[in-house]
Amino acid sequence: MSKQLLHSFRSHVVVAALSDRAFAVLTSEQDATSGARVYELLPPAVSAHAAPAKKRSKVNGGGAEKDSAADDNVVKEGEAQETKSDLSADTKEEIQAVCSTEIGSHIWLAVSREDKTLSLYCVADVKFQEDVMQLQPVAIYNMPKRARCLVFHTLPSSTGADCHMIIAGDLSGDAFAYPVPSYDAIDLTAAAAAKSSSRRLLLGHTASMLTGMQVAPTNNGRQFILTADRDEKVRVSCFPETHIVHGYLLGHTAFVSAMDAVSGDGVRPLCLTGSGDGTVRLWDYQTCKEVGMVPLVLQPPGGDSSNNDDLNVNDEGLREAALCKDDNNFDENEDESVEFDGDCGDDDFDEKCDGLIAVPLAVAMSSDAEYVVVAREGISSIDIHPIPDPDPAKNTSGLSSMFLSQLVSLHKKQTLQCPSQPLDVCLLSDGSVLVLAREPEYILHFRCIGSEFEDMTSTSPICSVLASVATSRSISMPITALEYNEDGTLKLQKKVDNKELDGDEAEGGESNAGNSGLHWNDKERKNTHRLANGRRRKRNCKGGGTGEEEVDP
Amino acid sequence: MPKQSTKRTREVEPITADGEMPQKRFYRSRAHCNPLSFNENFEYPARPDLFDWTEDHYPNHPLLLQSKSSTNDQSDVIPTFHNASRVKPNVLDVGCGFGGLTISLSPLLPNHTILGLEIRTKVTEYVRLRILAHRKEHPDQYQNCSVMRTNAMKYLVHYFPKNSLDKIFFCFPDPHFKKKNHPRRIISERLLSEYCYLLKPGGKLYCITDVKDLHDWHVEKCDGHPLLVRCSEEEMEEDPCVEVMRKETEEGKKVEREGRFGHEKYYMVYRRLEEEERLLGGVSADNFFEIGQFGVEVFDNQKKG
Repeated sequence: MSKQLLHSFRSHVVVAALSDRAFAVLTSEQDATSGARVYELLPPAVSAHAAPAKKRSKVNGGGAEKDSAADDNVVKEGEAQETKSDLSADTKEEIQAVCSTEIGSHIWLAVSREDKTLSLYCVADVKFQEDVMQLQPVAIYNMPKRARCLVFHTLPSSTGADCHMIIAGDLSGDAFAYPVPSYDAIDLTAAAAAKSSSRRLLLGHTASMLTGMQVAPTNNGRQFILTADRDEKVRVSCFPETHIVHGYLLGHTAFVSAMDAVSGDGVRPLCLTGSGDGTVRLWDYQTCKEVGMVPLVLQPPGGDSSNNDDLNVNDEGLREAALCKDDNNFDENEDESVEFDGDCGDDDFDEKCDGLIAVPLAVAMSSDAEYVVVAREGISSIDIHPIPDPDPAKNTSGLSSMFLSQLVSLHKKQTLQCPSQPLDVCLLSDGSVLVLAREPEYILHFRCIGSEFEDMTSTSPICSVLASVATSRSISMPITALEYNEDGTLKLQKKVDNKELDGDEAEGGESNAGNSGLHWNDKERKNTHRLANGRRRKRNCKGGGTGEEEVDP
Repeated sequence: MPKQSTKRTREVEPITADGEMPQKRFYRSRAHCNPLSFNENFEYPARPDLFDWTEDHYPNHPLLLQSKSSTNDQSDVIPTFHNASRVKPNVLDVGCGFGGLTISLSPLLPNHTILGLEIRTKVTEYVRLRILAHRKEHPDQYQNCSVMRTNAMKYLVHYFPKNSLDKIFFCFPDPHFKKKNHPRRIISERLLSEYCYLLKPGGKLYCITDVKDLHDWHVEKCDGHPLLVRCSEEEMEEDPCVEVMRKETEEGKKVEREGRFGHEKYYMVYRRLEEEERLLGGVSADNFFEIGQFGVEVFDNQKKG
């Protein structure tokens, strides 16, 4: 996730970032039909003087029509007014990342905002309470830089108390761990931002940005922390001994835009990365080798849909909503040799006027490592790719790093249409897929029935509840989760600047043989230098002394 | 317009031909730079095994010459290729400057492959020409050292595999005095973990400087890193590289002559831990946020501005 805008914990906690507002949707794990509750996670700027709103929004699953006006959806059992004082300052502070977890019986949520704050919220007792539906932060940390990646983690302790922490990966490449206070120590009357606190620098990718972070298990009961950065690599470090680097996953040729890793034990150590080079790669992070790849996909150029499916066209026109062709591969468990060319089969994409790479902006792997979900920039659908079982006979050769025939090509099995470009994707532990989208749906829900996925947005309590809340507040979602510069290039893309570091004259590109245009390396300089020295000597010698011939040392 | 284009496209002869000893005055360059700057175009391989060191850097490396003498009649290519892949640097001079140390290490460590890293173009060119001149003057020598222009803070892991380096030298690095520039220092907690990843178990890390504050910083960071252990005085005495590091670097000689911060040189050598498995389990829930643990700090949580 270039920005971690959607996060879930198991199947009953979902937290979503809708532009500058964050909402948590809780359902009951045991009882799927008992409906969902929404909490708004308030930013730190909203202090005690703003009247806390008491707005109820309990919707029974299966009832609401999400497309109708907001007022019809909400079952009012009392007042349901909107307070304008909720809205913080005029400028929208886009939310950078959200995260969720459950510690004991309490649900904790974290939101990282553009003003470099990290806010922690706690929902106590998952029983359905009717009153407070807006949560004030329980703890606020002021981070040195914006954080785009968040991970909750707990270190179990055999002797004393478990250590709970929230790890934040920021834009200077550092990953800091901040302590999560224990529930008993929460003091709602005190200021949420403590004067000083302790934090731990886990690791840093120097001069880069962290674009993905995940804690994953090793094969011997320990853990790794995987951090992806803008410099095309993923670092695998031991956790919590993060000063020991296990290895690097190298192979991408552009920034890593999204990353996910398996989180359960007993599963193959797989990590999934999407990159600005358009490919989605599967890695074994224990051996640090690449094991699978989805070839790059281009954003389709304006307007033409080479497919039978009905497609919506995006208003913006920059990114058209059309499927890339070739979704006829239904081979699930087939190991094949390498395919490197893009599926669209056009080798001269550089010459095409619209040959933009459809950067995978969100990838997600199911907890049993059976399939992966990919959402791409400029394409209004998500792809499901099953992960084939490894063939034990193939993984023996020690030269597997040299000969890429060991790579598996992940074929697309199903494409799920979305009304607009997805912003983020996450998987619930029951195998269903949540997609963060634009208004008016805001969030889509797909469930696997049999071997295919089906759209169950209309019947999902999570979707209806969140959509109604968001619609009633008229939240408008951004078009894309990736950030762009004014000239249309991706912010994550590295600028290729011809200016040399030591202020030499610009080379003007690789036009001619290496030294052309480099005046500092010009032989003429020797001559100029010699003449200038001669002149200087003459000038100095006019004041007396013999004039000597300059000799080149 | 046409005039201008012809001017740009004419071939420019370099000041120093390959094989000639370069003159420093044509390769002077600004001493300080910001290695964290994003606006650079460096080329680097995606993975270490995709880079052929013998192409540009070590075309006549001693290891290659061995293979040529003992080739079989068939498959002439495979042994050479195989040996070419054996040619990898295992001694790094980070921030090699004008190349004094890199060149002096070459005869001192004939069985090692030495690489100097420098971020400035002009200076790298100077060292490259210097090495070529040395190779021409002394045939069969100086074939195991070379120089490369790269940003050592970012791209080392793309070039060198895990546990491949015997020694890393940091000679007279830029002190970056201001507190806000401390992240630009070449030795930091973040980078030390990377250097330890690159060093072989038992490999050594050398640092020398003439600025006392910087030396204290180096010692503080390296002592604080669990994977590094200080070498004893005796070990440092016995190591011939220490002597070379003190005497043969350009900066070292300048300190002897001018001594802007005094004539004292501070240095320290660290060894990378052999068995890192011993460290696993050292960090637990009880001491995770304890002051004194690696990376733990108390910070000011007040919102700034």
